[in-house]
Amino acid sequence: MLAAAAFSAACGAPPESAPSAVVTSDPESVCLGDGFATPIVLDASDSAPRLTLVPAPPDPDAPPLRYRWTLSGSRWVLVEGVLDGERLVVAIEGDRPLHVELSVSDAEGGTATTDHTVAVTLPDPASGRCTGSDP
Amino acid sequence: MRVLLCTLIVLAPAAASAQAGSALGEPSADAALANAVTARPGDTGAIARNPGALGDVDRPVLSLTAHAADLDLWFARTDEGGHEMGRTVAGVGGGLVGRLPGPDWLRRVRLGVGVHLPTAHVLRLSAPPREDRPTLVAYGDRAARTGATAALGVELPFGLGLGVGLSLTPFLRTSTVVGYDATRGDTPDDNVVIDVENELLIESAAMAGLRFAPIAEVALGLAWRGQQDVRAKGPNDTRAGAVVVDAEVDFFELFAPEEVAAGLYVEPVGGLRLSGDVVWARWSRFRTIHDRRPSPRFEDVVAVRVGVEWTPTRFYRVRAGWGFEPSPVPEQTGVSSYVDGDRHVIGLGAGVDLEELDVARLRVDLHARWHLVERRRHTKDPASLPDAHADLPGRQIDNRGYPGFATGGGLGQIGVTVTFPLGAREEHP
Repeated sequence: MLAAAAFSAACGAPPESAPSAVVTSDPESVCLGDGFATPIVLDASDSAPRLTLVPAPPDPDAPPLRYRWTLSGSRWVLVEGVLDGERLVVAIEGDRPLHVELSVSDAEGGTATTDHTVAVTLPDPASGRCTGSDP
Repeated sequence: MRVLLCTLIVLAPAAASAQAGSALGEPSADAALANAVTARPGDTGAIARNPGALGDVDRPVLSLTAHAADLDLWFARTDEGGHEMGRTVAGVGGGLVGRLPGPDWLRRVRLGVGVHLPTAHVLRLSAPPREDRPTLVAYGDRAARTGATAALGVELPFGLGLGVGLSLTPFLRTSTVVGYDATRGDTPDDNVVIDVENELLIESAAMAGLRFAPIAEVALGLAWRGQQDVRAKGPNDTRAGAVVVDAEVDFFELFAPEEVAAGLYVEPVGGLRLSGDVVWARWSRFRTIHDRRPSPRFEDVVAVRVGVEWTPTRFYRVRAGWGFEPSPVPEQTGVSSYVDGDRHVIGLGAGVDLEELDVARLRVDLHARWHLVERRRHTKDPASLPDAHADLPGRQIDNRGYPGFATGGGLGQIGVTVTFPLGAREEHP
């Protein structure tokens, strides 16, 4: 039942300009129970100081973006890089997915955060073997 | 699994107002009694709980309530440290009850109105970017809820009171059109045109109730309250050259399930009042924020509540209450990870009637209330989880609750209600 009374409501001004945060992982999945065997590259280099519709060349004078990685889920070890770097390599126990949160900050204080999950591949029911993580 | 990320927030006007059946915004007396109030004599709380009890109100009264709660729930995947899902929930509210003017038969009718506003937003619906994120059920957006209720109660012979009411909740109609005008600016970014129109409408839910008090010391109450839900709905279209996408936003939040409450009230000795409620709640009609039935479905539940009020002197009273509210959430074996559990509600309170002390014509009631949510474990069933990367060989699991999770925690609340009698007591017509 919808009454006739209505009024308009404003939702505020557009948000301040902020960077865009992008995570890619290679591979995107490892076998269940990987046991820290597969190096996983987590890369934030597709992040940008400003979200645009078309590719824009980076401003050589702009201060670099700052990164902060937060990892949860599967136990993990850092193979290469640091948790505030643009790129890092980790290995995971693989009893469960690895949940990755990347926070990107620009020099003006703008911050963007994104999530990414490195999945685990279940064993094939017939063979009992993992048939399919990324190469 | 990525779905639309959208949080719709309409900023609240900074006005004081009153209470009308919000999940956490009851008057202090009701909160202290753990809401075991269906058969109790009428007060402003009856506007939203049982309008059949309004006929007991023997003079016009205005009540104002303020409350604040600290939510402290946690979520922890199996064998991992948990994270808190806490926040503060606060609101202001109140109610006004009075007789209708006119001849005796019309003066048997009481009109009550109540309003509740959360301190943060008029309407808040949050749609997480992933459906597997931990999601609060009882204490999410519905805990901070705007509502208004109007009710009529009529006093009939033989101690019988009947009442009906209407609860109002906001409904957001939103329209978003994203277009592209190549002549508008100097860069592609400048050429994007976004038209947003919002209308805040009102949706209603009915309620009805009765109270039967053959003698002053014993009463039965029965109330039915219709489902209250909130929607944000409208087109969300993109039109840019050859790109034409007509989509629709359809968000849904079940603020309060349909309920049937039966209550008993007795005053075995002078000054001691006992009350108890049994409440059936139709949670099986719960739907997700995207207006889909959850899998597995929620279950209907039956809650029990008891309360005791003791008045050692005419101007002072103390209250206590306990309730058990089973969780409607089944074991979370699939995609969703709803954070909920059986909860015990414990209320304590006290009131001072300054009118009886000849100090001022008002009554002050205070309460403290705790919701203790039992610890609960869930185990995911891999067969119930979707393949996260269908393009990769094998079956991929990326669920945020996998392999399982535990939840628990609680809520602590304090509140105050100030009640102002607006006239002298009247004999029943």
